[in-house]
Amino acid sequence: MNNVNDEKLTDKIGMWVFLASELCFLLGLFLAFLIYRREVHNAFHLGASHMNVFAGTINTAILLTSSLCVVSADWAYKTQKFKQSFYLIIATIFLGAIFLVIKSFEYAQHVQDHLLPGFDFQYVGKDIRGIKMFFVLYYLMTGIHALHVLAGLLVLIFIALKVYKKSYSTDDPRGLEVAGLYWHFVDIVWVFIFPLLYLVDRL
Amino acid sequence: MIHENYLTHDYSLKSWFLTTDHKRIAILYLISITIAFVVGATAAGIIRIHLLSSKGLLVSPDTYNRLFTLHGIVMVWFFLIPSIPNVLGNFLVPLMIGAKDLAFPKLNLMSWYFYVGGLLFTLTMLIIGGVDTGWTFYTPYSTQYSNSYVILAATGIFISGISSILTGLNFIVTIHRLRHPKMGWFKLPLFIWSIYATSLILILATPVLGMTLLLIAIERLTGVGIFNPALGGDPLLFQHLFWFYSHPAVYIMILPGMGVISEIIPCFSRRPIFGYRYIAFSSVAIAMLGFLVWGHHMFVSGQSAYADLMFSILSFLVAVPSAIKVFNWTATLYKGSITISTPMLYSMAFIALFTVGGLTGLVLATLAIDVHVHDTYFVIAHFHFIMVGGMVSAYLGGMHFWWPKITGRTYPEKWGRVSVIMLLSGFVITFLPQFILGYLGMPRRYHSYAPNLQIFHMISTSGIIILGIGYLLPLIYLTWSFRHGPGSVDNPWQASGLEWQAPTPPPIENFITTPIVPDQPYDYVKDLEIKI
Repeated sequence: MNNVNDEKLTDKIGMWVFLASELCFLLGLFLAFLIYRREVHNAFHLGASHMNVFAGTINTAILLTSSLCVVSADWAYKTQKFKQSFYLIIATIFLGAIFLVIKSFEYAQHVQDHLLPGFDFQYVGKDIRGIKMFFVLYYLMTGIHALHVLAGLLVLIFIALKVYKKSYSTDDPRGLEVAGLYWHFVDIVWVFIFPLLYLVDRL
Repeated sequence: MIHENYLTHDYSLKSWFLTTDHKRIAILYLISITIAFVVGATAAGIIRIHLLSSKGLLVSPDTYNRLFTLHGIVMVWFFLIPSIPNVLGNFLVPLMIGAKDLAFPKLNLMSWYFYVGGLLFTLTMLIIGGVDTGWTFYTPYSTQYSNSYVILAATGIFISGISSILTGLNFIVTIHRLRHPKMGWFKLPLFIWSIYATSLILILATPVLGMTLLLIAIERLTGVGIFNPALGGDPLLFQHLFWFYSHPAVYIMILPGMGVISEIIPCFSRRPIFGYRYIAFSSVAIAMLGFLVWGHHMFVSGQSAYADLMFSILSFLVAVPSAIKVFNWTATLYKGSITISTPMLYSMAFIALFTVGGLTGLVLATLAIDVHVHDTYFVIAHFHFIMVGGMVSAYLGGMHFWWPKITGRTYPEKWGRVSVIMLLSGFVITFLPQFILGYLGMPRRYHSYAPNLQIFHMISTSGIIILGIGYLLPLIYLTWSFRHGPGSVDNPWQASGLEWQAPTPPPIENFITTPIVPDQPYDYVKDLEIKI
C-alpha cells in the first residue's frame, strides 16, 4: 500500500507542478510583449515613459520584503515561535495589500491620463497603435498579476488563522510552506514584469 | 450476490455528487463524456448527410459553419482530451500503482465540476446560436468579424481547461509519490508511463490555450488590436499561440490510447511487451518533441521558409517514437499465443488505423505536398484516422478490457466482436475516400463543392451508418451488462497488473490484501491460455 511517509511531499510537489502551469500561462503574454516590443520599439519606448517608476520600485521592495516575511514566518513556526510566525504572516498580508493599493493608484493615474485602451484612449502622436499595444499588454500582465496577488492574500488570511490556532505540525507545516511557495512565485513574476515594463525602455 | 464495493457502498445522490473516490469520479466522467460524444457525433452526422449533395442538402452555409465548429470544439475538448485520462486514468492509476486514491481526491472532484461547468456553458452557447469560427478560432475573423458567441465559447473551453490542468497535476504527484514501495519507475505499467507523459503536456500546454482564449476574448470585448492587423496587431501571433497548445493537445489525445494498447497486447499474446523501456521513453519523447512542431499547422501561413524547414524536420522526428511503439507492439505479437478477444480486436484496429494516420502525417509534414493538401480533406482524413480510428478504438478497447474490473460484470463477447468489425469497416468506408477528396482538392469546411467530387462524399456518408452502429452497439450492450450481465471473476483475462489483484469491482479502499508487485511488469507465461 502507498507509504504514508511519502505523502509528506505531495502537497509541495503539487504546488510546484501548479506553479509550472502558471508559468506557462504567462508565457504567452511575455512572448507577445517581447515580439511587439521588437516590432514597434519606438512606441514601447514612449509607452514606458508613462510608467511610474517610483511606484514600481516601491512595489518591488514591498513584494520582496513580503516574501522575506512569509519565509521567516515558516521558519518561526518550525522553531515553535508561533506568535512571531503569526505576526509575520500578518505583515505579509499587509504588505501585499499595500502593493495592490499602490497599483490601483497607478491605474487611476493612467485612466486620468486617458490611457485605457478599449474604453478611454486618447493619444496624440503617430505611434498610437504601438502605444495602445503596450498598454493592453501592460494592463493584462500587471492586472493578471494583481489578481494573483489578491488570491494569494485571501489564501494567506486563511493560513494566518490556521497558524493562530497552531493547526499545523511544527516539523511539517505544509499549508504554510505551500502558501509561501505560491507567494514567492507571485513575487518572482513581478521581478520580471517590473524591469520589462518599467525599466528597460527608459534607457 | 456481489460483495460490497465502491458502487454498492452508498446509493444516495449526495454520495455520488460529493464523492472523492477516484473510481466514482471516473464513472461520473464516463457519463459526461458519453453525452458530449453523442452531441459531437450528431453534428458530424448532420454534416455528412448535408454533403451528400454537391450544393448541400440540409443546412444553410452559416449553420454549416456552426455545425463543424460545434463538432470540433465538443469532440476535441469535451470528448477526446478527457476520455481516457479522466475515465480509465482516474479509475486505474491508483489501482495500478497500489494506492488507495489519487494524491488530491477533492481536487479530482473539483476537476469534474470544472469539466461539467465548461460543458454546460459550451452546450448552452451552442444551443443559443453557436459559434462559426471553426474550433481553431483564427483571427481576425473570430475577434473582429464573426457574428457569433466567440467569447462564450472561449469561456466554456477555458473552464474545461482548468479541469485538464488539475487532472494532470493530480496524476503527476500521484505517480511520483503514491507508488507501492516495491514499484520502481521501470516496473510501472506502460499505461502509467503514458498517463504521466500526457499529464506533463496537460499542465504545460493547456495554460497557453487559456491565455490565448483570454486574449481573443479581450480583443473582442474591448476592440483593441492584439491580433488584428488593421489595428497594428499580428494574426500570425494568434496562430503561433494557438498551435503551441493545440499540437501538444493532439498528443494528449493519443498518448493515453497508446498506453491502453500497451496493456492489452501483452495480455492477449501472453508475452511480455517487447522493448518496455523503449516504449516508456518514447512516451516521454513524444510529449517533449510534441512541443517543437506546432508550426507544421502553419506551413502556408506566411511564416519564413526556414521556419517551415525546421518544423518539417522536427515533425518527421516526432514520428519516430510513435513508430517505435508500433514496431514494438507488433514484435510483442510475434510468436505469441494470440487470443482474438474484443479488446485485442480493438487494439489491432488501432495499430492498423493509427499507422495509416501516422504515415499520412509524414505526408503532410512534407512541405511540397502540404502546399497542395493543406486545409483539404486530406488533413481531415489524417487526423480522423488517428483520433477516431486510433484513439476511439483504444478507448473502446480499454473500456471492454477493464469493464469487468470497473463493473464486476461480463459484457457479451460476441456482440463485442461484431462492434469492432462494424467500427472498422464503417470507419474505413467513411474516411478513406476523404484522402482522395483532399488530394483532388476538396477544401475543408466547405458547405458545397464541385459536382465531380460527389461520388466520394456519397461513399463517405454511407459509411457513417455502419460506424454509427459500431458505436451504438457497445453503448447498448455495455449499459445492459451493467445490470444484467453475468458476474465476472476477479481476473477474467488473467492479466498482469496490480489492478487485477484488487477485488472485482474494487472496494472503496481498492485493496483488501496488500498487492504483490511482480519482479517484472507483464510477467506473462506463453503456455497459459485464457478462456473467454
